[in-house]
Amino acid sequence: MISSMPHTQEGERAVAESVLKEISQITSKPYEYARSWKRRTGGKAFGYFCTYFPEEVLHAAGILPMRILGDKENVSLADAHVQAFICSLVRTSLDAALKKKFDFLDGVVFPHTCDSIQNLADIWRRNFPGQFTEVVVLPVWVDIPEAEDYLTEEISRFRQKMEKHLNLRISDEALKQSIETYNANRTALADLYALRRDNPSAITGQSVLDVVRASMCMRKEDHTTLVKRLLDELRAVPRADSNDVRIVLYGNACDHPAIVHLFEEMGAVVVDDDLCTGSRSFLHIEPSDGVPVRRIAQRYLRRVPCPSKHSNDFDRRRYLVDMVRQSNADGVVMLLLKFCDPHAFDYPDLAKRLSESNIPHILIETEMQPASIEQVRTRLQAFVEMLKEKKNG
Amino acid sequence: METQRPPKIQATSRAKDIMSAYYLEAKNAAENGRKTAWVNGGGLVELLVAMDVMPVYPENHAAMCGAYKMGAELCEIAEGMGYSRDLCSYARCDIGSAVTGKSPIMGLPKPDFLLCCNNTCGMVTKWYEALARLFNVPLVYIDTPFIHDDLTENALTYTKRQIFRAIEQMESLLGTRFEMDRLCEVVTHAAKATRLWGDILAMCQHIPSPMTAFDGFILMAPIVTLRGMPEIVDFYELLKAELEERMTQGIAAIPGERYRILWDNLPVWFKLRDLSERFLKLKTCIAASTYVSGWASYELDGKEPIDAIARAYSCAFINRSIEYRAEMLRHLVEDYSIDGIIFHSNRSCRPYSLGQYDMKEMLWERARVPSVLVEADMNDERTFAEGPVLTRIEAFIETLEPKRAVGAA
Repeated sequence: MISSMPHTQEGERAVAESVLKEISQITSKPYEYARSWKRRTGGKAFGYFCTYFPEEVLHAAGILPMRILGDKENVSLADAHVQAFICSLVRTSLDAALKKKFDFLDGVVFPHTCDSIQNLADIWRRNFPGQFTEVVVLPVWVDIPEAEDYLTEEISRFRQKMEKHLNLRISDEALKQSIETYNANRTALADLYALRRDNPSAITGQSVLDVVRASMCMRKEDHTTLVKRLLDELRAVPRADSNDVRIVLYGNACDHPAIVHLFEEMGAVVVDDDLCTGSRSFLHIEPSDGVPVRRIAQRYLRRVPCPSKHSNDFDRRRYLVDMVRQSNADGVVMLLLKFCDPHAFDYPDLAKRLSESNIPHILIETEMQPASIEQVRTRLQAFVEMLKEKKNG
Repeated sequence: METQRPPKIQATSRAKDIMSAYYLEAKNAAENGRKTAWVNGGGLVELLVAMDVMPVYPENHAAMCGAYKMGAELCEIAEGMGYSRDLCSYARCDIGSAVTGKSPIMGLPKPDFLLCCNNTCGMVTKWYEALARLFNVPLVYIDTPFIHDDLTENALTYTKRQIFRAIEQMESLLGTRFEMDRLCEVVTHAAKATRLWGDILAMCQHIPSPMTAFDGFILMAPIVTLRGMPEIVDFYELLKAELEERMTQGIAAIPGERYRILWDNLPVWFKLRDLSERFLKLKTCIAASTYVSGWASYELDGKEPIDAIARAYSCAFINRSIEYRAEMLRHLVEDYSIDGIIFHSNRSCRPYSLGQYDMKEMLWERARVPSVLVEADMNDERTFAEGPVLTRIEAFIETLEPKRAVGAA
């Protein structure tokens, strides 16, 4: 990891590096991590899709929730179930399941997010009848009180279903504990992002995404411990003045550290992101009082919405422009998974607003399977060069 | 050998007149002091009719653009604005038309507001959000949670509460009061038309069938766009009488009807006529389709109209699980004596298409009915590979074994 920590002082570097190494080992082999967690603790592990799944309920039941985020291997078995015009997150995830890569999971749960995840849930239920599966049908409209009542009731239904399935009680006390644990984790991640905005050369963009990715593989308390250790070390890194080009990442699920790594090679730094595998997954914490299930519902409805959700008041264009301004960024790299309708529909107006705001941006289409990055490299190189010229004259 | 042609369904020209009059009325709505709302195919149009708002259907309009082979041209305009070629071709078509005024009817009249219900797909939410930004008009939105198993009381309550919210929002937009009695009336008309449409489709169970689903794709336009208007009830009574007469006289939609097929997913609008011709030659009747049946499956009741429309729109078949849809297909197979299913794997419609491979297996397991998947698109002819698609369909039909003695052959 030395290459990814170019500016840190020797002393801190060692500790930070050991944490980051541990994290990258987990994120490079998430299934292995979950298997060993099960062996170590004797607990159950559940796979879940999308950051909209109310994980707190699983956590309160003692379960390790592991986000299923596609697979790096090329699709073979899923071709018999899923057309080529469906996103690779859906295709590779189902493919991995059909290849029995998820046999260690004790259940797989889905939130309602988009058309494709919705139908995947049904295909999954049919093809893995022996596996415990359940869908929490979240509302699409997030900012009306009716949705909060509905979701509170829907999460309660899921909780009861889990209690019955696991033959245990998920008490309000346990839910409260889990909410605390999740809030602590989200706060730690937000601290990491704040630190990075302030001193982006302290940690690479790739490492930050790795840290967030690890939060989706681990029990949150274990993850928080790691993030806090990392933060302690990073806070000691002196702020380096640099002329590096500052970039904001926008998009959906990006699990390609290699793309992000390209920036460092080109003398650019990532200063913030609005990604589903980044800040959108953890920003906004549960309100501090009220009935636990309702608090959970409120958090998922009030978080920065995924484009698959409908909101009256949230203006993604303004949100992204504000993020660029607040992080003092020079440009936006939009990483969009091919065949993702919700993002593709937002893109034209978002791109237009960035242009009107004089913020350079570039669109990179991605797939879950690692593709050749050579073409991306050339385009990004030209983009970064343009930003450098604009910045330094 | 010359292909024997059936006599035309006379009501088709009446449907065309109704649609022309409707579009003319829509175009003149603003001049006549009437507000116009754009509404999606799964939208609760009864609310608009009850409040005397002119409903305009971009989906119907896009289908018309597709049938006139303007799909690709209009899609390219939207693509030039940054809309991905992978997005729904209805949406791209209408956006292309909205910004240029191009279409067979020179574009749709501008909306005063939008009404969108997500019971058809999540895509439509995004499309209507984009329209709201494009026209800078309010969006009245109704979220009907997807039904993986059964409709829950919780989801029903949520939908009903949103209908009341939508009514309030429209009252304030329009400056008029909503009358529940008026809605009862409208829902009663809609229920009558819906039942008639169901009766008409059920006549295709007859062997030979007096009508094909391809005729249905054209004849459904009034039930889609003018549901809740009394004229529509008259129109469908007329159509029903004509089909009854055809049955009495033994007139087949496909003379010498040999095979009976169920079509899943939307039509391929720009190839509708060519495919009809091909099926006529193959003596193959598309006797049923999930798409036309969709508008017959609303169970409406004028007595408790809010409850009725909340249930009906929540339970739209496309808002239900693959298991539910497989059973729907199985019933159609049995009721319509279907020999085989053509699944149109529609690049433009992910929720309708994703799961078809599994449904294909389910239908074989449950009803021993063979099926084939063909890749196409409802409106974007650039993605259509005509040769391979036709070869695939013909090869499939050759393998079929009709389950019954052949009628008029």
